[in-house]
Amino acid sequence: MAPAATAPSEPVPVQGPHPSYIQVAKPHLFHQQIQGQLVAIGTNPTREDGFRLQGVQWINDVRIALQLPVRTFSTAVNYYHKFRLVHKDSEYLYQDAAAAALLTACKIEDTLKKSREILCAAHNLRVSASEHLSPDDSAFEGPSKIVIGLERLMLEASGFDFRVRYPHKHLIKLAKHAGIEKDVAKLAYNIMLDLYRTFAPLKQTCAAMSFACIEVATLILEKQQDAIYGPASPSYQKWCTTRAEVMETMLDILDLYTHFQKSSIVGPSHDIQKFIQLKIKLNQEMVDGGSFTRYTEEHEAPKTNGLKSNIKTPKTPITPASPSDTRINGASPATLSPRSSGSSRRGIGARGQDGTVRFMLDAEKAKEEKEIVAEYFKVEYEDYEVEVEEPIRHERPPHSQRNGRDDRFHNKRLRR
Amino acid sequence: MDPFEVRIRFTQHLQHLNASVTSANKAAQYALKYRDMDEDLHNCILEQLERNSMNNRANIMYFIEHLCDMAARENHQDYVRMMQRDILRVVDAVAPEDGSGAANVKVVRKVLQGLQQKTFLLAQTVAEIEECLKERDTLPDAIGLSSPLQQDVEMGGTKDGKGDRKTNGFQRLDKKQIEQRIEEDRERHKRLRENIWAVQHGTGGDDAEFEKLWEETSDLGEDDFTLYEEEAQERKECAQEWREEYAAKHKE
Repeated sequence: MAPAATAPSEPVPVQGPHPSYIQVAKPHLFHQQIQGQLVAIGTNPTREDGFRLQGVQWINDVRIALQLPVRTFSTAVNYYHKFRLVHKDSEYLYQDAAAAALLTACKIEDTLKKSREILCAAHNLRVSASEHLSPDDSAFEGPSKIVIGLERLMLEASGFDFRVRYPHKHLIKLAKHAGIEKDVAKLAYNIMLDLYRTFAPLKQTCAAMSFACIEVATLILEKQQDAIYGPASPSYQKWCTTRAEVMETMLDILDLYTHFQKSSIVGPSHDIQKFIQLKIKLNQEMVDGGSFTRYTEEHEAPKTNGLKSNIKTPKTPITPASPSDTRINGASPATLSPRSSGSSRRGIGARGQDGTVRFMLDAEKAKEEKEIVAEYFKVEYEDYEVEVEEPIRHERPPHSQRNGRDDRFHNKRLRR
Repeated sequence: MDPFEVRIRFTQHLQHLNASVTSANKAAQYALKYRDMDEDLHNCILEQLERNSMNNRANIMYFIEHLCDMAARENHQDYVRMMQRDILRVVDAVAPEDGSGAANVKVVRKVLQGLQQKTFLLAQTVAEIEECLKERDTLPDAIGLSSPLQQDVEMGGTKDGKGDRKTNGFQRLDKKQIEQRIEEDRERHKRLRENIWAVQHGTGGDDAEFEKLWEETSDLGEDDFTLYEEEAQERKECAQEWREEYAAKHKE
């Protein structure tokens, strides 16, 4: 009788299906976001640099061997970078990831190459002519399967985002528009190729990258500087970019040239002193300008523990050693956002248990949906007033009769 | 296998060539499998070139490129050398002097260019052959695939038709053959498009591609600015997202 009376008033937790995760594709990522992500998946900064540079080099070498156009290169590198932001470098070989990125890009750019052809070209680049193999050699059987497997992860890591950018085309358009001479434009074109070795393509728009590459080219060659930056140059505003973005990109490329001069196209043919000079000059401008910082869209953490931007350069003394460092700082997305890293990083295993992951391009729509769904899944804690006195009284009488007098007596005594 | 049988089989391969890469590769693989009989098989090629229909000759011509490719890759230069030696004979068979293979002239040019690019043939040789080819695709009495003009010539009962048949040992094309050729050309064109994007890269970096882009990129247009605007908008939205995400993280 008693349990029957209490049961309906107890809150029953509703256990419906899991509200699937939504992973929203991010066409742009910012420096702080990228670094946070890298730290969250436990990447070692030095190794990160190495694999990034080697991977992009691999993609460039192979795409040249396969006569692939530059647009396939930019798309491939974009996928490579995005892949590496969600998967720790110990989980795959950089060559495999690079091959998978190139394979994906080939499909997207309609410059079809088979996975075996890509692997074969890479193999033939490494060995002498006598050891060259043909794409149907059985040696490529296993690797080809790995690459095809990684291809799916490539698409997932990018959030099935097929929006591609061709900054090289826009670089030339801008150069022609600004009346840049051909030799400067050619250098700028190669700088743009080098820029893909950094994360800048994830961060910036085509316009910002084009401006930055041309300006660095004019600075290196010491000619036509006025044509790209100054009152007579094309206006940033019209190209929907800002000095801060251009500056960030220029410093990104100069960082590459000063720290990893050898692993770039333009770097080795110029004196490192020159790059350092240019960097100092730009830094000076930044300090004088005062209105912008080294990185755009960077937010100051409430509690700063001295861990600052330069994670990516191994030469800085302060490098975040372990993910736990940043967790104290509260900057680890792994612990907080299941869709950004936890879900895709763990692979299918963990995700399968938690619920489906769906991919969306429109951030606005995803947010709307989440709000609507959240209402249904909110676990509501309502306070029900349960009359517990009532049943106790019913049961009590014989009991109280026995001790009633004592109680009353006791109470009376107390009251008195 | 019996040498005679190898010959017969290879001949069959050659006769059944079509526009697909697989058929050409199969035949080339066969030729390399029995490379110890390379001279015999090379003769087979020449023989078939002079015996079969114009369509087939075109297919064999394309096959030669595959064969040279594969032979070079497998480091069996003999095929390449023999082909270098006999290239004139091959060209004469595929696009005969009498103009009966006018439709094949383009094929010959393409293959020769390919062979030159892959350094199987000297530029000089190709230029010389090109000289001879010039006249072959414009002969008005051309029989075969080139133009409907010969129909009239035939009807007129001139000697040309007969003469051609004699010199060439080759019968007039029927409708089926013409359709087959159209089909095969279409197939080849389709495959060509698979590689149409290919960019020749110089040894010194990306110069060739830059030149190409520099020449071909159109001037700035209104749509470009729309694109920049959209991109900037997209970036702004991402920044907004990031700001919210960051703020949410630091609230806890």
